[in-house]
Amino acid sequence: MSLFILWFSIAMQGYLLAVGLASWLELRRHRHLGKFDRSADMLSSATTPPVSIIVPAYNEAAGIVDSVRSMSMLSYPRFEIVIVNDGSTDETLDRMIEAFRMEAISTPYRGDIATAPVRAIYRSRLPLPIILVDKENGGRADAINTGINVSRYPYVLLTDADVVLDGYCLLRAMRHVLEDRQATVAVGGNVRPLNGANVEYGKVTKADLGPTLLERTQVLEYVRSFVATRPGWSRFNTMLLLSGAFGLFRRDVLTEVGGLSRGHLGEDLDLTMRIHRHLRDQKRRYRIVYAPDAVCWTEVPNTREVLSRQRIRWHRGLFAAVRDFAPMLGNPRYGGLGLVAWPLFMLFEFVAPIIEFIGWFVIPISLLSGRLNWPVALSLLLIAYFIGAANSLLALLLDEAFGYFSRPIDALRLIGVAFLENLGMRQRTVWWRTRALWGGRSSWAWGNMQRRGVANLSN
Amino acid sequence: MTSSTLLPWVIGSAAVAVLLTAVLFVVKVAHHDLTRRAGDRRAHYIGAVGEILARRTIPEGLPVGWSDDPIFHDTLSEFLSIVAGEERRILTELSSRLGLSDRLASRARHLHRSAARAEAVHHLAELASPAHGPLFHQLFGDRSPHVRLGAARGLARLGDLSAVPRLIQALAAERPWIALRMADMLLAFGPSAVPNLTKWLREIALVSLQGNRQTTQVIRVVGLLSDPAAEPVLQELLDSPDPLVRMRAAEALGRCGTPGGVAHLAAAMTDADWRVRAQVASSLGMIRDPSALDVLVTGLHDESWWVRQNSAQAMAELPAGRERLREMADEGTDEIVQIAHYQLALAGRGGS
Repeated sequence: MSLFILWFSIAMQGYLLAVGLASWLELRRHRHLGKFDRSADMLSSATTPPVSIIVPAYNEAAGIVDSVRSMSMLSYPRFEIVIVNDGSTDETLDRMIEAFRMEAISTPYRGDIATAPVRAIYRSRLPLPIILVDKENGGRADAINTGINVSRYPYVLLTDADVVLDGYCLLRAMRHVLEDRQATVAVGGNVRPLNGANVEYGKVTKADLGPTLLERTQVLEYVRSFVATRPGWSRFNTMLLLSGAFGLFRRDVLTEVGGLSRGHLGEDLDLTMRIHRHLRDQKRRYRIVYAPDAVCWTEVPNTREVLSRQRIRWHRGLFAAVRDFAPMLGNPRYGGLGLVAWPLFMLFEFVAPIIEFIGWFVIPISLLSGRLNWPVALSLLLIAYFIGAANSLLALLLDEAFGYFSRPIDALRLIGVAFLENLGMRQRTVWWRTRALWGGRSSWAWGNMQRRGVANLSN
Repeated sequence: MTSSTLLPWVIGSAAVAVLLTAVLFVVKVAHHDLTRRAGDRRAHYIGAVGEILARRTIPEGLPVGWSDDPIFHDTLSEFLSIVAGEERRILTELSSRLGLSDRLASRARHLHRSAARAEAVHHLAELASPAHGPLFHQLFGDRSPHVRLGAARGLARLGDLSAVPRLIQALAAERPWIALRMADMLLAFGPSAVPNLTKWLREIALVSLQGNRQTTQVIRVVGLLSDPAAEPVLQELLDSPDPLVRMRAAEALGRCGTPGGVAHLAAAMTDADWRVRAQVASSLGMIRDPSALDVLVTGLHDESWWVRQNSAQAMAELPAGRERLREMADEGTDEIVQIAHYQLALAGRGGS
């Protein structure tokens, strides 16, 4: 049993290394395309499709105005911003109305997806393409579904009120759509931690690692996930998760699958999986791709308590998805997704923390009882540790293509985190993930992280 | 399994981690340094070219290294894309004095790496010298799509109409992204490309009756060029068996915007496909001809939400249509009242 657990840890790191190498191949292709395909031509092209940006907002008074202002400055020829106030109890609605001179209009509402009642729809009197929807509280998914109903354009970008979008992110994401407009139904973006960054006029002018080890560890986690994992899965059209902070979808596909599931803790994973299942069931040709150069920035938790709540919520979402999509597991009908991607994702994201947790007890007992040889156990642990560090370093090397954290001191700090992460921090995450499996707090629909607001992030 | 059999694996994995650490650190430091140097050079070129433009003279003894530096090429291309007239002439002369045109032409012809050829041809396209016309034609047959795109850009910049048929072919032959950029190049020719485009539509699209990406793109380009001379062929395309072709033809007729198209569009309001009817309603709004009002009122009762919305939106474009919407806002059914209020509010003429 102990040996199995140790070998399992090595296998997991090996899996991450293989995905990292696939990501490297994919990023090389992206770099080549990005250099010569002249995405900027889309800005002046009459053939560029318009996009609706949907922003659910619940008690976002601190930063909503600056976020919307930042979004309104995106470099894209035609887009609208649909803010959905999900029954906020703070001044979110009033601040929006005041800042953008919103006026209520009687507007036809298309009920493609059932949602909580809409109280009013506002339109800006300024020459800005902003629509504000005020509705009864129904949760993030319900707010997004309302935004989908109100949106006018064939593509919708689902994002959050607390993110800072890179000026060209929409252009870069839509570039992937135009590569194969018939087949591309969704594009995921590259989400990066905002903590410590310099934000001026709603734009990130200088990225930073954040002041604490907790934040720096999350930088490394995001890099590993968004730079060294997703491109690899995207290469085989088996990307299982588009982040809620940046997901571009074809509107008709979203309405076909009934929008986001209300009350689902992992609504982003659930949505991506349902789109895969729906389109594969219908035997339609489709692609869900990842755009590593479509960057958006989000605040990550800077205290252990908030981080633990976030991770527990994420893992419960994964648990719900495992339950809902179990029939796809190993099912040849779903191709590479059912046979490879989903089983591996389940094994290494859902089962692995449980195995590792069991290992905390089984391995010491085996060592003390003499059933496990000390040198062998230590050797296996060291192999897993070094391959784990190598994975993180490989991710950081791939990330170099984006040019963030280019100072040598940042390199040293990140290298330090790559080696330290497996000595305590990783075990803490395993504990949170394991804890997520038994009951506890009831409401997880909206995160309750204390936000500073986009404008207040300027250093 | 013993610890001695595992030892090489421990050492190997540790070595990989250490090696990656060293590589990462060196790459970071080198990247940091290169980025800083490139930024300095770029700032220097921007300053120098800006000063040349401000003084309107090119100094003697230009540094030879400029013409070999890709950062200078980028800077010059960016300037060329935003200047015109005398300033453009100065920059063209600057590139000529540096021997840049010949150097780029040689690179575009002879380099093996397609990326380097593409870079050279895109810079040449910005220079848009008539002397490079034959080279652009030659590079239009290059194996790299990026080079072909650069050549198309150059030909469009030169206004070489003999390239239009090849560009139309490229709409079908190229992958979608490149085809879209080729459509942009066709647009760059302006109305002078319309005779060639309509000729193709008449000889190929109308004969084959097969809708495809190429046909819909050509119709779209014709519409965006908004030349009334294209109306007859667009009217005929409204009878195409392919709904996508009919939709694009209706859109293009709306953009051409002459009352001559109204009767044909009105007839298409009975199309079996709701997407065509929705587009017809929008197009009638673009033309803003009062004779379309009755058809648009019919559209308000269409089974499709989009046709009803677009009809109301089109009505709001007409003075008589707004009058009708006001009446409906008082007397219509719930949805029509709501639609009428919405469109009147958007038109800034009343409504709540």
